[in-house]
Amino acid sequence: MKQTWTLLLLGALTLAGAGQLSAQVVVSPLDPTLEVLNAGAAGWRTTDVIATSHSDRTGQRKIKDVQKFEYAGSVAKATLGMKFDTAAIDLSNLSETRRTVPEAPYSQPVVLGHDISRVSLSMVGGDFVSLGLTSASEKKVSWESVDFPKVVSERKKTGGSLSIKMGSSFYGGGGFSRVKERSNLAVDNNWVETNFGAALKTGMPGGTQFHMEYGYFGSPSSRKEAVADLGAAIHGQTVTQVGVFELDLSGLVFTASGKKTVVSAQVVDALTGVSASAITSDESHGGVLWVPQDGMVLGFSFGSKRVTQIYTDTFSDFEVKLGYVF
Amino acid sequence: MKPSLFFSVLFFCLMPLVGSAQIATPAIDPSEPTWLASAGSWRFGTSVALGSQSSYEKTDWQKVNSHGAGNNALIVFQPSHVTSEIYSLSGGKNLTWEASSDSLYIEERKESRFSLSVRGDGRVSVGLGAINREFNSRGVLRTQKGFGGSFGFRIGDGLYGGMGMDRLTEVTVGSKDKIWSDYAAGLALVYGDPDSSMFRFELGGKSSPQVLGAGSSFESVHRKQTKQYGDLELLWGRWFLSGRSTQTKRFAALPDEINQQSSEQRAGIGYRSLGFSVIFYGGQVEAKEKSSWYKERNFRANLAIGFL
Repeated sequence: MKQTWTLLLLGALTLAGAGQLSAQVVVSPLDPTLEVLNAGAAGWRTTDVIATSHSDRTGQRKIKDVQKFEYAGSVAKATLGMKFDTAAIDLSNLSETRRTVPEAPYSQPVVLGHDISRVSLSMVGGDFVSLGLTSASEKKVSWESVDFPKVVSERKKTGGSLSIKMGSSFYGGGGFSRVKERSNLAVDNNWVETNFGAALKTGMPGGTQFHMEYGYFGSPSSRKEAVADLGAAIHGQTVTQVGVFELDLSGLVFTASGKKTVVSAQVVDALTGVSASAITSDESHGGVLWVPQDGMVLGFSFGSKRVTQIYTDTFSDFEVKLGYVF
Repeated sequence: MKPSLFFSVLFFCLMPLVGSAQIATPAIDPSEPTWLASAGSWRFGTSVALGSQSSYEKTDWQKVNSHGAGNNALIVFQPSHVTSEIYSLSGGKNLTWEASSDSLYIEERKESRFSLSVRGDGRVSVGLGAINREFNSRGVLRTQKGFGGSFGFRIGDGLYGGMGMDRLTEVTVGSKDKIWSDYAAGLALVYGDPDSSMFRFELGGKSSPQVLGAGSSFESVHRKQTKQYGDLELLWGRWFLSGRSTQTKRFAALPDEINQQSSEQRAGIGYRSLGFSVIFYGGQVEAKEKSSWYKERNFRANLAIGFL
């Protein structure tokens, strides 16, 4: 039974990643409202920005084409990025709320709330290398069953990253993070996450700019055995690939991005015995923004996400963004 | 058959009838609100406007004229390349028909909108909007709240385009919330100067999907709808002329409904200067299905003060 709970928790943790899509691994984005994932990317920021966004999210869960329930919720984000002579700091917060309460005898986990806070500090040296530190905390509240309607899990990630500028347009780099996870159902767990990325970013602010980036995140499986009343903690081997395309035409910025995550894990439905050997998540976003060199940022984006395991979750969201660059 | 027509009449009455043809560009009449926020960027300065509309309706079934009236206000603040717009409609009353009870009702409608847009280099525009609508009929209160995003562009001197989306949530007491997205796109030709002579011609359309809620009441369904329009405005010196045609198609959702089409024509004439405008409109709405019909005549007066 304990193992069952840990497996269910695994599914919940994977689902909770919905709503976060940015591929800023080695260079800062043209959309200044996006947070950076690696601090090394923040070092290449050229403007200061304060921004907020709100998105409306709907979705549904199906098992073999039969709808089990609908999702409805919202995501609020805030970002502050500041660039000094040779240093940069980025602060971001994401808060997702879902108005979804499953009913018995449904047995699969459902994320009810999700918060991520991230702080990044970076230093730029010689205009060719950016070195940074990132600290992130993530808190999720999930429904596991009628007996466990509110399970809280937390992750804390601390990492370092490096980004190197090659020539005038190419960037490459990567990072290393230590992740610790705890919940009120399972023992503590921890693992290491590595990432790397490559990007092409050309043009000058005020003219035409182009940004294309690929990022890879990977972490091995990690299992901690059950102790006393706490179940075993299992983190499945995880591979995430992200891609971003951005085009800035004198301030009018078009963005398109995609993200694919595969978690290798055996997921079992406690009631039916149906299982899946992997959890796959596909996500895509597209948007339009006005980003002046100095002034108000305004924009919106569309997004969709599909999570496939023993059930299929689909989400669609619409986000409006408001910010100021100075 | 008759109930199906009156279902469409009811639905038609639920739709906001004003300000639905400003998707790519704002109307030359400064009293008209924009549908997409991005169109607001192409306005000609700050203005304050008031409007009042009255109408009467006839059907083949009920040979009774029913009158409705509504007032609206619009404030546009455009200090620079940033434009904000506040629009409010209150006191709207429409005749509505509920087929199952074979009765006529007066529906009250309120609407408010806020939009914010920014113009870049005189060529592009990006906007955000917030919407709140209330419908009250037979003691059933429905509220629609949502927000939207849009962007527009200008090619050459006078070709404009715009597209956007509104994300709406409808809450009805005793019914499941319904969430959907409305899409809109338009193209316009605009030439001239609002201080002398000007020409504006816009073509556009909107679409809204069907959303099924729980139950089988009229309010439990948001019906799929498409709308196309053409809008022509001319400013000659201080004289203003306007004509608009709108075709709306609503798709059946409940078993006793059929697809419905209706048309609306509106013509306007008035005085328009940079600092002051007063414009009068007369319009008609017609819907016909087999031997049943619905007709509406409406009149509108718009008054605006500009601060360019």
